[in-house]
Amino acid sequence: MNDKPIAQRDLSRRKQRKRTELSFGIPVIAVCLLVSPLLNGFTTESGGTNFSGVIVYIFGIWGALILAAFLMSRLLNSDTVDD
Amino acid sequence: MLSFNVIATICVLYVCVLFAVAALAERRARQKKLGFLHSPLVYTLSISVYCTAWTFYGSVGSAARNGFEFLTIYLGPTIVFVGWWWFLRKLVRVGRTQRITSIADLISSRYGKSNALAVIVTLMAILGSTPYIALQLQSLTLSFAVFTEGSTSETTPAITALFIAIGLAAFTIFFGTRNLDANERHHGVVTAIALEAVVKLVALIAVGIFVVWGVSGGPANTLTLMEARLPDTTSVFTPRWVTLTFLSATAIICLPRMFQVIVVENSAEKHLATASWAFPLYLFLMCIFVMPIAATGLNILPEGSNPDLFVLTIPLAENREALAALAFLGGFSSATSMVIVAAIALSTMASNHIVLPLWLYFVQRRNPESDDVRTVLLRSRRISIAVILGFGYLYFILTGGTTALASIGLVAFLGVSQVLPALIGALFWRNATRIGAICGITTGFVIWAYTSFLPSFGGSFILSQSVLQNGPFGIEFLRPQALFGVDITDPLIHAVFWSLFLNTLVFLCTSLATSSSPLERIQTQQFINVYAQSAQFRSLNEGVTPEDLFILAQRILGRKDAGALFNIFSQKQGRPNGLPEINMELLQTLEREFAGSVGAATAHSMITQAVGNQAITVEDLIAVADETVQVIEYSAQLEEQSAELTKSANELRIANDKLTTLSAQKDDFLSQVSHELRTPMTSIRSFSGILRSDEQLSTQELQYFSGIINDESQRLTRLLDEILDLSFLESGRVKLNRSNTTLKKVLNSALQATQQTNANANAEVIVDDTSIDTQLYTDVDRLSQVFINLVTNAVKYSDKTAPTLNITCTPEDGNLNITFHDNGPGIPKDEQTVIFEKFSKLSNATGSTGVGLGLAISQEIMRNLGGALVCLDSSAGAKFQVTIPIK
Repeated sequence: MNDKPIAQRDLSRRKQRKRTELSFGIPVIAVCLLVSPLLNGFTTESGGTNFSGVIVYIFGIWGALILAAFLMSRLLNSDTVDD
Repeated sequence: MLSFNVIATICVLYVCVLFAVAALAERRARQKKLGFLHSPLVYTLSISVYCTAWTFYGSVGSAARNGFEFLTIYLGPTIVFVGWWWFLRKLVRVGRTQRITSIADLISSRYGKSNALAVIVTLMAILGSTPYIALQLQSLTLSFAVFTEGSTSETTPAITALFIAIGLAAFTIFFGTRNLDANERHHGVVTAIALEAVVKLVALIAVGIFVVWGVSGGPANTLTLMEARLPDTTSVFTPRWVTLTFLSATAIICLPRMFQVIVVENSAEKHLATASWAFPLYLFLMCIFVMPIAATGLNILPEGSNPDLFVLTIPLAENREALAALAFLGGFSSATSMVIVAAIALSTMASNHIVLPLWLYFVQRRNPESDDVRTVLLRSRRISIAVILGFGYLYFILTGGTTALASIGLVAFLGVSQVLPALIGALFWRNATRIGAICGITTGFVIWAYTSFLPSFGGSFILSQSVLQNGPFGIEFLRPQALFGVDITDPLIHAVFWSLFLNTLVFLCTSLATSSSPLERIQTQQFINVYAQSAQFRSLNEGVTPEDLFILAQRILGRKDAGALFNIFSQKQGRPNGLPEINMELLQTLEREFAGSVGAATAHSMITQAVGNQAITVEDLIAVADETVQVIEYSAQLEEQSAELTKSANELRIANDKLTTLSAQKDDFLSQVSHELRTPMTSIRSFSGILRSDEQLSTQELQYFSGIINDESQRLTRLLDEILDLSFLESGRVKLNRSNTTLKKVLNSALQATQQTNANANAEVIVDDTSIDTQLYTDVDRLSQVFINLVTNAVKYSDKTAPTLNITCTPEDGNLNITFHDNGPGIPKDEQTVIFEKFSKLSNATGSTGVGLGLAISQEIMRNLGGALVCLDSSAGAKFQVTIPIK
């Protein structure tokens, strides 16, 4: 009789754990991409920096992070405590 | 061109709008009609107080000077916010559950509510924020100066800054210290800041759009221009990049004003979830046009123009006065919002952790009844705000407004970052101790001051130019910008490395070397396990007061116990008078105590409902508690009654047992009596039968048979008399004829009565003369009956041909002991008590004719006369002792 709710609860817990693990992944990826030598990968033949490359790279990742955070906030919001 | 007066007027009007918005928000908050003001959007916009004039003007300057570097200041906070679930959420939860009012409060609360720690953090925060406030004054002064250039106005930067400082102080005092909210929320200020956040974003984007499409001719051209004009660095990722990202990530957590808006002003955790993406988006939008503006400014403005003011000077150069005015307002908003929030946060810390403890120490000690703490707090906050802005102004004058904006901001960032190790330890490390935190923060603070803060004055304050270059007293080893001989080219990286490295090292080592106090351990539990705590008690309701809880506790625990419990907590919280502050510990203890009275589950729901946001009011709960008390009283009464019943039942059981025994004794007695009666009756019946049926009996036979019948009848009568006598004696209904007599008289009468028997048996009675004349008041006949019985027994049961009986008298304790000692066979020890029972006869008794009631009757007589008859141990013969009270 009770198997089904327990199984459901187990499933939702596992889902929840996955979500929190995923939410840990976002800042880690952010650090790996934005505070890393990858930024130096955009050099022109003359030895200078490829401006547009760096701009697209940084702002592109930034935008992606915002999008990911937006999606995560919707997933995680159910666990917050409110007034 | 816009004149100074026009700009000044715009500023005044703008400030009036801010006043109006703040006042409106305050009013709606008082009416509890917050509506959209209580939304994640306003919360996110208020966090954008991070973007100060340093962002608005300074990032363009930084981009013009250092290229991509300015982005680090926004990437750090972005990383912290997208990872909100792991750090900010815990910080906010702790802040809400522990009712934290500032970062100093948080650190002090976690480390055993240490006031020393709170003072250190407060002082550090004030010192760290001073350069930052100066920075805002400087940027405002510079932007004003743009409009006075070339005019005849004689306003010097110092005077402009002074006016600005006074104006900001007035606004902050007006809206920041209007009321003393329990959780330090300022709806008016937050709303005004949200409005300012919109203004600065709109202004920067407007200038950006104008620059890209209006000046540079589209994105493609702008990109080309950027590549051409902005400094071309060979690599973007440098130690400085890492350091600055780290510093900015730290600053968003540790800056007092950021802590104020993120943690203290947070009214719902879900707002943080929205801010996690919305705030990075805001930063993204603030940054997107910075590089185009910088490149265009370098391109179109004359050589030597201050890049920090490009946002303002490009529209002016292009004769877009409205846009310039908007840009000015954007910068004005950035600077004012930062100063207002910082001043509120710092004044809260200063008044709560420095002024109030001092006031309590000096004033309250003299006059414990004084309770105008509220007035003192408000006044001290107002003064603190003025003093903090005064410090900022002083720093501005001392540094002369020459340093580039960005470098001042970084000095401030590093200053407040010294709290970071202790803060992370507070939330995640159980073994972090108070001493560790104090030592770590102090170390970091001293090194920061020595390597970064004091050198920022450029040799004009405390550290002279020569000290900066050659070290104190010429010791190169201690050069402020090359400590321990390690030559790190960038002074900022040098200061960040040494201050935070040594700070963390000292914090870790000292924490491991010391142990925490019990209060610290309790707080550690509350902080580190904050999620578990919150699940139990959601958020604390502002509606519940310690008084309400006290009343509730009184109803359940009783006046005395509740009073004692609350006193313990008051003392623990360092409040000599009054009720304790409501905290988790108090609630948990109350719940435990309540559980003892009303059961764990009820106690839990009572406490959760008292502090939670349920519809049930505390009054309802008090009613419930009253009912509970009634139920408890009723059940106590029932328990009492039940105990009485149990007692009666026990008594009844004992009585019943006694009755059963008595009934058995009665049955026993009756069967013995009938047995004793049957023997004579049988012989009487059979002999009388012979007399009746046989008519030819001889006279001799006739006499013999009728003699037997006569004897047996007498025996029967005697037996019945004895039984009757015994029954009277036992029930105490016997009538005693007491009279004055002597022992000698009684004894003589007894011996006379037995004289014949004694003579027949050839027995000798020896009476000891001592005490024989003792006076007695007793029933002579009865006593002599006892004596006769004892003498007869001694003679009757003797196995000797010449029985001897010794009678001795000895007085003892107001009694007279008369001993009858014969030379007969004696009484075995195990039969010495049995012989006094009815119908008992000795097992070795031969030739006895008695029925076995004599000794029982004698004992009863002695009992009725107030004496006793016992059988004593004797080596030879039987020894009875009669005890009789002397008159």
